[in-house]
Amino acid sequence: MKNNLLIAHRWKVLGWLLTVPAFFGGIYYMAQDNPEALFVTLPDWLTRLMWIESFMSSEKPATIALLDEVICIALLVGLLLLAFSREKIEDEWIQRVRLESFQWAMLVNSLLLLAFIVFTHGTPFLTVMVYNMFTPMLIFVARFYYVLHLKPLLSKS
Amino acid sequence: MKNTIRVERAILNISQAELADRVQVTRQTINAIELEKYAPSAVLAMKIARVFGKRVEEVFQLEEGD
Repeated sequence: MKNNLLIAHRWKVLGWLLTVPAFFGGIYYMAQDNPEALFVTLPDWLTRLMWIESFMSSEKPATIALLDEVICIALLVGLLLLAFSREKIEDEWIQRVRLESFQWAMLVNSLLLLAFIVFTHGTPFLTVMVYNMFTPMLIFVARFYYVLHLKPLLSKS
Repeated sequence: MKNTIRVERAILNISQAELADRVQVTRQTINAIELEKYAPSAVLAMKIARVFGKRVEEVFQLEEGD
């Protein structure tokens, strides 16, 4: 069974190299209450192309902090590489684990989101939405690698 | 679907890993099939039967409810 959406196994290394620091960086970022860093000043023509709004004024700010963008992009790209790179031997059982893990991720994420919709209101819900950008992929990767690599180790010992 | 892979392996004296190698899948796949947690595709079932020199129906049998 050939799955054309998958990429080569070697991309897994880059996937881990991006995901692990971005994951902990992201948690640190949220714990520090959105610290701003990596400021860049955008040229005027670029700000016209972008959707930027300031909470403070109606003017488009020309200087933006890139730290959150860097963390988000590293985490998303890292998780995509982990999710879409082939295993060393990509066989039909692994394909099934892959499919089941995607279904699992969608189900668990939706149930969590339902609970948070009911139990959080106002600004805390924005925090929930920030985490929710990554939870489907995180749950998928966690479940897929648990079944494939961690579960056999645990059952051996 | 039931199967007699464990018995057939014992007759040939080969491990799960060796069988996995011969049919180009992972050892976990053979384990999942032996534990009857996973029903293999027709292609894989035929490849496994060929390793044992048997017909597919001799290695894999339908169960009630299949």
